[in-house]
Amino acid sequence: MIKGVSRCLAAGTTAVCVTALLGSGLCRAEGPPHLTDADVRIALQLEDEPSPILPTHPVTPKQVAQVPAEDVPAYKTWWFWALTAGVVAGAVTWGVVASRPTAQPPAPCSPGVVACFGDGRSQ
Amino acid sequence: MTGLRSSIAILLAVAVLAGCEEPVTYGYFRVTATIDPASVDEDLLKKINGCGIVVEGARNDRANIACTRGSVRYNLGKFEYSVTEPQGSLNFKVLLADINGNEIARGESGPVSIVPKVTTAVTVVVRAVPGFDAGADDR
Repeated sequence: MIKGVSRCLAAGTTAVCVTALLGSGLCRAEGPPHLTDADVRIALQLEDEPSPILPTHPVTPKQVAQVPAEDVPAYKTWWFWALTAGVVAGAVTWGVVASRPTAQPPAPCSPGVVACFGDGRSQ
Repeated sequence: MTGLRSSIAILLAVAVLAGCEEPVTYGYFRVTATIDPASVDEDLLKKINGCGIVVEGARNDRANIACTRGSVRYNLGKFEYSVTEPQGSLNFKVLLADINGNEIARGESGPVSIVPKVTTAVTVVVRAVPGFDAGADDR
């Protein structure tokens, strides 16, 4: 029995191990687990069948792209923030320009002066 | 996304700062220009055909006073100047020239400090330029 188990461990896979044990006749002869032929066939079948989860062929990026995208919230899109930035910038600019007082003119020139010039004045 | 949010923040900051711009204030000068009779005699006075004002210092500017030959008096009058510079000083010069553009007389105020929202009175006394030949251009 021990010799058969050692051979199993050395062989690696479950299928090879079960086959080896059955072939040697030791599995039926003594001790648990008592595997029937049906159990062994099921085990072998599971080993050979492709996984229902993993793809059987490599997935390419193109195939990934074809997967329909989930619904992304608007606030997570670039165009939403671009639009928001434009609206905010426009509103702020308009508000600043509209609320800014016009350039304050200088005091009027006194009557009788021979010249009156400088900033805010035309000679 | 983060870049866009940062851009919006910068835009808002710039707009707010632009709105906080200080209002314009003016400093005023009222300059009285006279000709020194002890320096400029009647003959020389009659030769004056051009009067100019030059401003130097924190601001450089110039203007003309209407001076026609034979009508210039010792009291040239008053002129006013405005400036938006909040500080510094200005020097006012008055230059008188004959019909050929030769400088006959000049005077300057010396440095006068700019005081925002205040009118500063300045006096300029014009004196003959040494070496000018009053009889050289007697047309």
